[in-house]
Amino acid sequence: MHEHAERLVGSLVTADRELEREFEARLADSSRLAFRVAFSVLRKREDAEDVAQEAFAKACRSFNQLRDRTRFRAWLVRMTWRLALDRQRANRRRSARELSVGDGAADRVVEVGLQARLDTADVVAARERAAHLWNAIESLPEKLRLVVVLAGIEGHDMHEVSALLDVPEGTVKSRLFLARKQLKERLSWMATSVRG
Amino acid sequence: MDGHKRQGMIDEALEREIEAALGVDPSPEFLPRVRARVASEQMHRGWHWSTGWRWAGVAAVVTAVAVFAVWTLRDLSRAPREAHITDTLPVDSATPPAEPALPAPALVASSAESPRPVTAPVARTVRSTRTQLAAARPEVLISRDEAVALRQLIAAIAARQVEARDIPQLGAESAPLPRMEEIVLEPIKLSPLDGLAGE
Repeated sequence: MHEHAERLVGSLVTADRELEREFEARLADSSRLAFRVAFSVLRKREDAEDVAQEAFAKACRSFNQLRDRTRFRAWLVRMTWRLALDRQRANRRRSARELSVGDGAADRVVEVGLQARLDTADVVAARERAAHLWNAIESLPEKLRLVVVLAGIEGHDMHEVSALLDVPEGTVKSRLFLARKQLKERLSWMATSVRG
Repeated sequence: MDGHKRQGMIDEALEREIEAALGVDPSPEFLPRVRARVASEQMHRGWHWSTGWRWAGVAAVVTAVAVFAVWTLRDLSRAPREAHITDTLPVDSATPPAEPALPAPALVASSAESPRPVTAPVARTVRSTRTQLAAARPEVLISRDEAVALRQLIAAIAARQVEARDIPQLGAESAPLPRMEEIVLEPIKLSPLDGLAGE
C-alpha cells in the first residue's frame, strides 16, 4: 500500500516536471509572438510586455487543462489579444480622467511639440506615417484587425494565420483582402507617395 | 496592366509598412521576467497539489474515525446482553449480600411477557469486571415474578425482617418425585389373519 502511494506520488511529480519543461519550451517559442500581438493593440513597449507576461501567467495556470498542446500558440494569441484590449480600455479611461484634471495634458502637448522640433525631418515623417498607419489599423473592425496584425507578424502566411485564429484559410484570405482595401482607402496619401 | 502593377506595389508597400510597424522586439529583460513570473505561478500550482493531498489526508482520517465509530457502536449494541448475564450473577438465595446498604443487583426478566429489562445503576468499572467474570459462566434466566420476589427477599434480609436461616434449602421445598415403576412390554406374537387364510 505504502509503495503504491509512493509510486503514485512519484508519477505525479514526474508529470508535473514534464509539464513545466513543455511550458518552458513553448514560452521560449512564443514570447515574441505574444509581445507583438499585445504591442499591436497597445503600441507601448512596457504595456505590451506587461500584458504578454500576464498572458503567459494565465496560460501557465491553465496549461494542464489544454488538451491539444499543438494549439498553444492560437490559445496564447487569443488570450493576449483579449488582455491587451482590456488594458487599452483601462488606459483610455485613465487618460480621460487625467485629461479632465487638465494641467498635465497641456504640459504634455508642449513637451511633445518640443521633442518633435528636436527630431530630424525624416524621423518626424516616419513617426507621422506610423501614427497614421496605426490609427488606420485601429479603426478596422476587430476581426479584420487581428488578421492584419497576425499576417504582419513574423511573416505568417495564410495557413499559419488560419491556424492561429482557428478559422478556414478562405475566411482569412477574404478578411485580409477586405482589411487591406479599407486600409488603402484610409491611407491614400501613402499610396500617392509610393506612386510618386 | 499598369493599374495592376501599381496596385501590387501599393499592397507590397502597405505590407512592408505594417511589418515595420509590428517589427518591434521586447526588451532583453522581458523573457527573464516572464520566466520568473511563470516560476512563481508553478510554485502556486504546486501548493495547490499539496492542498489536494492535504484534503485527501483529511478525508482518510475522517473515514478512519467513521469506521472506528461504527465498530464501537456495534460493540455497544452487544453490551446490554452481557449486562444481563452480569447482573444475574450475585443472585444466590443461600448467601445474603455482604453489605446490605448497597442497592440490590439488577435482576432481569427474560420472559416473553416482559421484554423490558429491569436494571439498576451500576458503576462502570464494576460492570466491566463483572462482565469479564460473566463471560466464563452460563447465562441464567429468571422470570419477572421471581426477580421481584427475590428482590423483596433480599430487601427483607437487609432490613433484618427475615433471617437467612429461615430460608429453606433450595430444592427442599419441592416434593419428592414418586418412584417410577419399570415398564414391562409383553412379547408380540405374529399370526396370519383368519379371513385371509384361504386366499
